[in-house]
Amino acid sequence: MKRIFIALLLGLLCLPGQAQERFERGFSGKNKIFIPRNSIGMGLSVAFSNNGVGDDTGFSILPSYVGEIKGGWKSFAIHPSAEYFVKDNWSIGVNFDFVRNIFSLDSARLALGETLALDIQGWNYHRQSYTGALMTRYYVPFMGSRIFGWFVEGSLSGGFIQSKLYSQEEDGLKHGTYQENLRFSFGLNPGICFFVAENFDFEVQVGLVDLSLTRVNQVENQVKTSSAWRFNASEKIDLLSIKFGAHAYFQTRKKNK
Amino acid sequence: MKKFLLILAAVALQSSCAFKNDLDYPVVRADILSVEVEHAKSVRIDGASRTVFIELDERADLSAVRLTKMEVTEEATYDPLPDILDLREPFSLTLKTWQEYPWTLQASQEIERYVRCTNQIQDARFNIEQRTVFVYVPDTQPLSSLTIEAMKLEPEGWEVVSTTGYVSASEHQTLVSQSVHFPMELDCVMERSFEVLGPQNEIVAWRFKALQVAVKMQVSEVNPHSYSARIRGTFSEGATPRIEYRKASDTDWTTAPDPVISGVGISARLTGLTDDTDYLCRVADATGASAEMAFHTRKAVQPDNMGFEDWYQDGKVWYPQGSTRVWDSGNKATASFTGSLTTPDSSFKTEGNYSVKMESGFAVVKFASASVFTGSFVKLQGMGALLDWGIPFTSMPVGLSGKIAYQPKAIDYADARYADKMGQLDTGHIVIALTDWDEPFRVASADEKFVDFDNDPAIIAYGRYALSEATNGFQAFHIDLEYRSEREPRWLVIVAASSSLGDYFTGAVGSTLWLDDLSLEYD
Repeated sequence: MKRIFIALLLGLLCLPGQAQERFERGFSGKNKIFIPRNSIGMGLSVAFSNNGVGDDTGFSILPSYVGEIKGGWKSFAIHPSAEYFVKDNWSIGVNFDFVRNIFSLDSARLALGETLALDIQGWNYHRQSYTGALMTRYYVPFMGSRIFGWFVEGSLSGGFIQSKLYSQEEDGLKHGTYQENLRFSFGLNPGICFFVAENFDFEVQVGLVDLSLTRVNQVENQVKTSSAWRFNASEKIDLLSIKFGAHAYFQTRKKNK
Repeated sequence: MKKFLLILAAVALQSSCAFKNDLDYPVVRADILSVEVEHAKSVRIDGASRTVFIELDERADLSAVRLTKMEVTEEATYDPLPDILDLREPFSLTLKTWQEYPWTLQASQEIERYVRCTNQIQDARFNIEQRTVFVYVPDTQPLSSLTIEAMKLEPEGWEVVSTTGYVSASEHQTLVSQSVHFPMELDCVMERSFEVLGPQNEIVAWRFKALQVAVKMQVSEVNPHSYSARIRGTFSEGATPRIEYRKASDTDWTTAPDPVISGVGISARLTGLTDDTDYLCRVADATGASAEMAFHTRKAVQPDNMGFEDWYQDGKVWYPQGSTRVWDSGNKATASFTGSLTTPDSSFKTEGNYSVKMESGFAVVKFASASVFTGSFVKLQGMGALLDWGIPFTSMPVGLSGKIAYQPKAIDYADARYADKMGQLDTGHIVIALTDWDEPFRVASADEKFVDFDNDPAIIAYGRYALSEATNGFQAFHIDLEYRSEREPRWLVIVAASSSLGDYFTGAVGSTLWLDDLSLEYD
C-alpha cells in the first residue's frame, strides 16, 4: 500500500513536466554573460571625515536645552576587496574592512529647566573594527543589459572590534570601559551594480540575511570584567548595512569561451 | 598588481594602529581611619596632607612608641608594621589600593619645663641639648640670694633632688651640695647644677645660670579687639607703675583700672574703647612715662542682611539677598523638584518683616536639607551642588547671637553610615567659623567634600549651636567663638541647616528651622 501511494505521488509530480517544455528563467546563455570567466575584480572604498564643534562659547542645538557643546568626531574607513570569476558571472574573493570612529564630547550642558542642568565633560568614545571575509558573488544582468545588473553575495566573515568609552576629568585619569568583541558571521546580501566605463562599476548592496555570533569581553577600569555571548539571526533589510562601492574589472589573458 | 600591493600595505598599516586599553585603575583613596598608640594625648588625622599627628604625653619614649591599633580604609592594604615604632623622625608607610598613598606618622611631645624665681623678668630659657637653663632677673635682684620657687626640668616622673654650687662666705667660696626643697634661697652668683632623678633611678644634671638684665619702662605688647585691648609692659622697680591710654585725637591720658603687677611686669585690660579707632598707650610712674605705642581697634563689622529682611525671587528660586550678596542657599539645586526649601517667612518672625525658614524636603531622588550660608551657590554638579562657603571678613567677633526656632521630625531618610539614626528626632544647627583660607571653601556635596571644622588648620575660631528638640516659638541663642589661633581671619562662614546631617542625605522631611536677627558680638 505504501509503495503504491509513493508511486502515485511521484507520478502526479512528474505529469506537468512531461506535458510542457522545460521551463528556464534565462540566467544562462552566451548573451547573459555580465562579467566573463577568468576576470579579476578589485574594489576599494575609503571614507574619512573630521568634524569639530564649539571652538568658542560652545555650539548649541535645541538652544533652550542643549548648549555649550564642544567636541568633535572623526571617522576613517577603508574597504578593499578582490574577486576572481571562476565561471561567467560567478566569482569568489576576499575583502577586508577597517573602520575607526573617534567621538569626543569635551563639554555639553543639558538644561532641562531654569535651574536644573546637567553638565557633561570629557566624554570620549573610540571604536575600531577589523573584518576579513571570504565571499562569493553571482551576477545577473538586468533585462539582458551589460551595464545594469544585480548580484547576490554570500560571505563568511570574522572580525575583531575594540572600543572604549571613558570620561577624562580634571584629574587626567580615564574612567570607563574597554571592550573587545570577536564576531563571526554568515551573510547573504543582494545588490545592484552599473558600469560607468568598460571596466568600472558602482554598486549598492544591502544587508538581508545575517547570522552572527559575537563574543564580548568588557573591562571596567582594568578591574571589573564582564563577558557576553550574542547570537543574532536576522532576515530583513538592514538599512544600516547599505554599502556603496566601486569595482574595477580586468580580464586575464585566458580566452573566454 | 602594484596598486593592489600598495593598498594591502595601507591596510596593514592601519592594522598596526590597534589601540590599547589605557584606562586607569579605579581611584580608591586609602586613608588611615584611626591610630592608637600608648601614651597618646591626642591623635589628629589630616587626610589632606596624609599625615597622622600624634601628640604624646611626657611619659612616652619617642624612640619606642607602642602601636596598639590602626584602622585603614576597607580596600586598603599595607605592609605589616612593627609593634614598636621609632617616632623620633616621621615614620612613613604606604597604603595601597589600586594606587599607592604615602602616609606619615608624625609624633610630637611637649615636655613642660619651667623655673620660677622671685622677681623673674621672663620665662626661663632652656638649651635642651646642653641641659642648661638661663633665668633672667632685674639688675636690682641680688644673685647671691635668689629664691627659686619651683622647677621642672624633665618629664613627669622625674624629680629635682639636689643642687651643687659655690657659696660665698667672707673671702672664700665653697662648693656645696644640698638636697632640694622648693622654695629655697640659693647663691646663684656662680653657675649651679641641679641633679634630676628619673623613674629608673637614672640621674641627669642640669646647669643653671642666673642673669641680671637692666629693665626699662616700656609697652611690650598690645592686643587690640573692637571695644577693648590688652596691654602688657615692664617697669623699673621703685615707683608704682600704671598704664595710660588715650585716643590719638585726644590729649588727656586715662589711667587703666586694676593693672596686674608681677615682678617688673604690668598688664591691664582696657575696656569701653571705640571700634575702628586709633589709640595710644604707655607705661608711666611718678618719675615719668615710657615711649607711646599706637594701636588701632578692630572694626565691629555686621554682615549685611543678618535679620533676613532682604529677599528676591527669580522663578521658583528665593534668594536671601539684598543689594549686597552675603547669604545664599541650596535653593537652585532643589527649586526644579520641590521649589525653594529656604524661604522668607512673614508670619513667624521676631522683628522686621521676615525670618528665614528652612524646611527639609525630598528632591525626587534624594533627601535635601534646607540651609542658608554666607557665600554663594556655584552650580549643580552630578547629583550634588558646588557651593563656595565664606565671605571676606577680617574682624574678630567673640560670638554670634540671634533668635532661633525649630520643629524637628523623626528622621525618615538616612545614609547607610547613619542608618542607626532612623526614627530619631532630627537635629538642626548653626555653625560659625573664622578662617584664613586663600579663597572661599568649595563645597562639593556629590564628592562629599566638606569643611572639616575639627581639623582644618585654617580655622581660626569656631562655634556651633545645635537643637534636637522642638522650641516653643523663637528663643534667643548665643554661640561663643572659640579661638584656636591669634592669626587674622580672612573669611567668615555662617551655616545653618534644618537637618545637620543633610550633607550625608540624612534627616527628616518637614524638619523646619527658623532664624532671625543674627548679630555678631564683639568685646
